Amino acid sequence: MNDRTIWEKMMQVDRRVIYLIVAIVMIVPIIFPFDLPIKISKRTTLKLFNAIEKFPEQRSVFFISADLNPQDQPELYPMLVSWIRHCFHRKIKVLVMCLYPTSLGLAEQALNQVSTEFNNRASQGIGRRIVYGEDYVFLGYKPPPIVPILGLGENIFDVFPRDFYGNELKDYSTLPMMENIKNYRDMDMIGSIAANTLPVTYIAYAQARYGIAVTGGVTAVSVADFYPYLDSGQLTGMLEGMKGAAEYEGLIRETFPEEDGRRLATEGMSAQSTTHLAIILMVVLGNVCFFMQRRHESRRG
Amino acid sequence: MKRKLALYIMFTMAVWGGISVFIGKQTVHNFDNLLRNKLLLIVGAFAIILGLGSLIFHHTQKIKRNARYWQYSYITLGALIITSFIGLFGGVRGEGGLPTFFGGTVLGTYQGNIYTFQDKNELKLFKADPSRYAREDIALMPLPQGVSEDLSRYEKSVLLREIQLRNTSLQLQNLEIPLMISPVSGEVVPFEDDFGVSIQNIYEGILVPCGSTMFAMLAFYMCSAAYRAFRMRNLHAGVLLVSAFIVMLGQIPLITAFIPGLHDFRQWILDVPNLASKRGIMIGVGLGMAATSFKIIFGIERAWLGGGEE
Repeated sequence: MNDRTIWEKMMQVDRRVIYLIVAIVMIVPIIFPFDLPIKISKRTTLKLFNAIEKFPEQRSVFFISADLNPQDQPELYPMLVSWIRHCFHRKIKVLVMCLYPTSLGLAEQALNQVSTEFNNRASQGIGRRIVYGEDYVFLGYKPPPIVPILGLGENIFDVFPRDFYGNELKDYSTLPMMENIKNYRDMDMIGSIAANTLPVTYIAYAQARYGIAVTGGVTAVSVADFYPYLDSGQLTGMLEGMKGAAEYEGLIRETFPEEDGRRLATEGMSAQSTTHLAIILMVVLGNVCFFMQRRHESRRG
Repeated sequence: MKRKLALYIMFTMAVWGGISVFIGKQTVHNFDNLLRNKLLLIVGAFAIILGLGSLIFHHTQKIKRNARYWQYSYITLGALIITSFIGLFGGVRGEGGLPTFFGGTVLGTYQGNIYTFQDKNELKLFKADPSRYAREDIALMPLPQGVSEDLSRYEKSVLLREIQLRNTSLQLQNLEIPLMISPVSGEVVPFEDDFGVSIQNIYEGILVPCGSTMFAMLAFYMCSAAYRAFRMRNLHAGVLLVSAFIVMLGQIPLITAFIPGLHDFRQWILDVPNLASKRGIMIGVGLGMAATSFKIIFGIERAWLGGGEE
């Protein structure tokens, strides 16, 4: 009665079995993470790292458009943390803005986390202290995206009269670093962290009009979309998903040995690697079953 | 007439946006800035109101008609009202004019050194439960005058940050304050503090876990779909499958460590075939966008005006 072959049965396996396998390969490496040898991508990660390394200390400004959402957090949050860490290590001023309201919490969390890390180390006599207003300013959120993107090219004080905490941007006693920042001409690079094509919007409006360098931190699934801009030199390197973030974390650890902050992307790479492997094996197995079943059917006529 | 007026406004603005780039006069530049920075901001603000109205209308209609899943519309509207109220009147961190506090009962009182900010006499940090912090945590940090060493490293860093942000100093006072358990974080906090259910609490407590959960579920669906649907049925599907394999394997450090050249081959796929096809697609899309824009500017394409009378 039941003349289904083993291949046919395997092809129609209960989806809950697959879910269980995925859960196991994902959860086990999260509980027991293992170190992986991460190779640095020269065209993307290393290029960006070297570009930031070349910024002159004290007077350079890295403008970060942190447009990550909670659902992109595992991939994009470590990038934001790494950029802030790199800038603080190199005494580069950081200016952070959000184009979406859902990004505000994560952006503030990253700034607080990194400044606390630095201040804790400074209390033990390692490195320097980070002071809000001197080393970084959080501008907050302003809609619609095109207004701040274009407006910051003319006058930052028109677009953001106050920072996220309500301090007047022109109150140089509270925010002394703003004294030398008026528009894109006073910034060295824009870093756009987003799960969509916002880095391209920065290229189209900020770079084309005001000539500022742009880089991106994007999710692995959208990486292919940015390669034309990387090839043309419009993007000064970029970070590709969690792997890019892990590469950047590794570069920071190598360059600044005192850096002891948690490397979220490096930790996550073990779980991501096992899950990728599981997906690949699933596809192979699915195709083997498919061909064996087809062969069986053709033999049977 | 209404439609014609909209068309005239759109035509004028589109032509202005184009020619202003090529005119070097400062007056033109300033007017362009005014349009982009001020007018666009006002239009954007109206768009939010319009979107809000549309959302409320859509969900009230759904409830009225008992449409499919109408129950969820109550959740959407309820969330909208609650978050709007807290956001508008409670402030980003529950520091607004109206109290947005709910829940919590007095657990007991705490007597000890309380740090208050000089400018606002605001209670921010205190030792609610000293047993939670080990003595080893106390960092040797240069502290402002009046701050004792009896603080954990975390408390000190928070305290220093508050001082930096507020550009103020602290006062040390011996006070007795009632305590409660925070309805959001579950931590012991002062009852009379300005703590409330803030937008930040909602963000961290609801939005972040919900968003992460939704996205994490994708991995399960993707794996199931890959197993069932990703078949090498013909040559095209085969090429796609093999290139996807290489790009995915190149993402796995464990594999690239064992297969020399795999990382570079993955990079070649992204740099050459991917780039060539992407460029072709982008040029096509760009030309299509330009053609559609011209059709809209000259009033040939009017779908964006929607329905309604002339």
